[in-house]
Amino acid sequence: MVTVDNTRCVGCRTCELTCSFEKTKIFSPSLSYIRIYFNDDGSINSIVDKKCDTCLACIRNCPVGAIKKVV
Amino acid sequence: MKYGYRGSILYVDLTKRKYWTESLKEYKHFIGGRGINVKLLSELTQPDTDPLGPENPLIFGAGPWIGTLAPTACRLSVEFKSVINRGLGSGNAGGHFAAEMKFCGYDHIVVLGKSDEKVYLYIKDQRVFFRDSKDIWREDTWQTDIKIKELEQDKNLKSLCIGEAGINQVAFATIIVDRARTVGYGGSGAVMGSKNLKAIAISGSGQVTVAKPAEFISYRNDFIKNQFYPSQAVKNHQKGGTLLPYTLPLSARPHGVRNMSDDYWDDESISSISREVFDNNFVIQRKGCFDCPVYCSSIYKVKNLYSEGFHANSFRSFGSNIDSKSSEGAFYANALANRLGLDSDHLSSVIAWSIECFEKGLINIKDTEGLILKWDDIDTVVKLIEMIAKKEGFGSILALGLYKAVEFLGKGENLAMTVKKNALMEAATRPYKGWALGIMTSTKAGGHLRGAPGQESQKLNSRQSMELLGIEDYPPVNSYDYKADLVVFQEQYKAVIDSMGICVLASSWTDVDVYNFKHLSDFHFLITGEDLDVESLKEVGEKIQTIERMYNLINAGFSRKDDLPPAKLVENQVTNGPFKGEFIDLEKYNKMLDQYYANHGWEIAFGIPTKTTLKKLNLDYLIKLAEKSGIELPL
Repeated sequence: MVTVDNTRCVGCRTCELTCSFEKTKIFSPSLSYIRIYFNDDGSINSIVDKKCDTCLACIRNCPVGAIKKVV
Repeated sequence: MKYGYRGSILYVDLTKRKYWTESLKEYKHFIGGRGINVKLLSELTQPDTDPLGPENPLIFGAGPWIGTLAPTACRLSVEFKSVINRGLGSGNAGGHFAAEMKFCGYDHIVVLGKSDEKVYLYIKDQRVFFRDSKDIWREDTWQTDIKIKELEQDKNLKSLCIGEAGINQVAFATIIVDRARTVGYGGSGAVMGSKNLKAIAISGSGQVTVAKPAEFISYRNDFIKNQFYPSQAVKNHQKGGTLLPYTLPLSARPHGVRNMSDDYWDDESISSISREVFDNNFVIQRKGCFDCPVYCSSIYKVKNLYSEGFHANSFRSFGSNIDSKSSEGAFYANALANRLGLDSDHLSSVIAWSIECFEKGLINIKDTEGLILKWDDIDTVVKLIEMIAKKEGFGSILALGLYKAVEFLGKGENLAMTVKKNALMEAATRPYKGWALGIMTSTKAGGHLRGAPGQESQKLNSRQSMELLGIEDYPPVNSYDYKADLVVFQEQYKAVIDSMGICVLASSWTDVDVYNFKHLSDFHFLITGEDLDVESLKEVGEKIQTIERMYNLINAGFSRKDDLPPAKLVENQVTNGPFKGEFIDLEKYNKMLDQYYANHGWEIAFGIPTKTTLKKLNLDYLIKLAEKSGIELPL
């Protein structure tokens, strides 16, 4: 599994594209195991699906290092 | 069009409450985004089309790269007939809306007609729902997004909408994307308001595929590592958005001061609205657009308002151009303009003009209904912003837009910073000669997001200079030499990147080695499978530029006389600093303009594309459109 530091995340959703591409070779946030949402005050929320197989592609591509592996 | 593209244009007719899709295929020669938008616009409108009538289409474009991992591919192009001057209305916004269009299955959305009831659209994959918007009609642009998410029970949706200014059809009202990102120039918000359309919300579960997946990822990763991240321009914008690199040199760079009366602002004034103050006291979180590793934006809170942004333009709009040194005031004014849905460039320009008119005694409290206007008075500016959005009192005159406000009052014409009837709110138009040419010839009527060459002020080495201009010694900013070449280059380049869907901020505009034409050609091939070499891309850029030039000629009558700078840039010199004494020498400017027309293959005396040039570009249909309007084109 991975976890997102929502205060560091900038909401670019590169992780969503990376995740879906790693799994399927297509770009589709709806297929991503990681999803980023915007709260009413503009802050960020994230959900990581239990199906995440910790391939770490999202960590490699996050531009701000907001994603970490959790054991 | 299997790769990159989704292959569909969604048409929504608000009058008949119908929607349908058509194939994109016949338009692919214009790439996508802005290119296809302007082709569609030139076919869908006539010279007598009323910009605020149901016949004016609102056209949204998401280029073929959007939805992939090509860095910064997220830009939404919006084209329509301008409320300001009846010519091209054109804006470009970041955020997440364009990507969601692609995931819904659409490269373009064309909104036609006018709804008889107040509505918003909810587009969910292949379905379009016409929703009653009476209950959210007066919500501001931030709250509208939140309310629609609640109403649709869809936290994935992305939206664009109008605020108070749009529903009141203020001439320079703008559409706001993702709560706070503007589609500036031309009055897109007023067009949307005239259609009784409060918002468009979109939510897609589809996908974008690329032609060569493995090669694309490999090329993209190398590009990011070797070109993108090492770029100093990218680093600066990552560090502090556009505000930091704009203000960091202090008065060593030109500014836009007191209604563009000067390009010098002193260091103390510049320091009063700094990135440091912004970061330490107002920013909640840094923010990136979809798929953007530059994350130049910020979510911030000022007083009781949340908003996003505060860029170089915001600094100029609510700082130097009104000579205000209040940081909190500037952040608040910017947030307010976003939430009301106002184009801050035009807003600042029309307010600064009214202040200058007041200070010089051309207008008085009888005109302003009791308001005393002066420089460095952000509280009154904030009042005026609200009055403009609501069309109250003196605000209702300024809401006409600068050109019409001058006509209405019959005063202050020489102080009005306009080109092609649109308001200007720029820095550096006196010292940077190419920059000035690019702004005055811009097909969206002013603004530095057409041909204004950011390359001009970059420190280029001889290799870079040779590649760009074919000369070893790169000309200084205040030289008129080679500037027509730079502007035409940038026009073609910008037309291409706007069509693909990437951002100008991390491009050759800020660093000639980032996203150069070769990179564009390579990426485009790997994404779409379409093999367009550098020369072919430049030709597409030239076509788009030419369609826009012809659109302005046919619909607004613009020609050479409308490419000239306003009087103040010629008559007032820079008063201090490293650019002291700079102004636009009209004779030299006109020679530069001659060269600019010659480079395009346009007739020099009037700046009109010739029939030969149009035929060479396979734009024969424009000859027919011109003839239909009684315009005789030169051979």
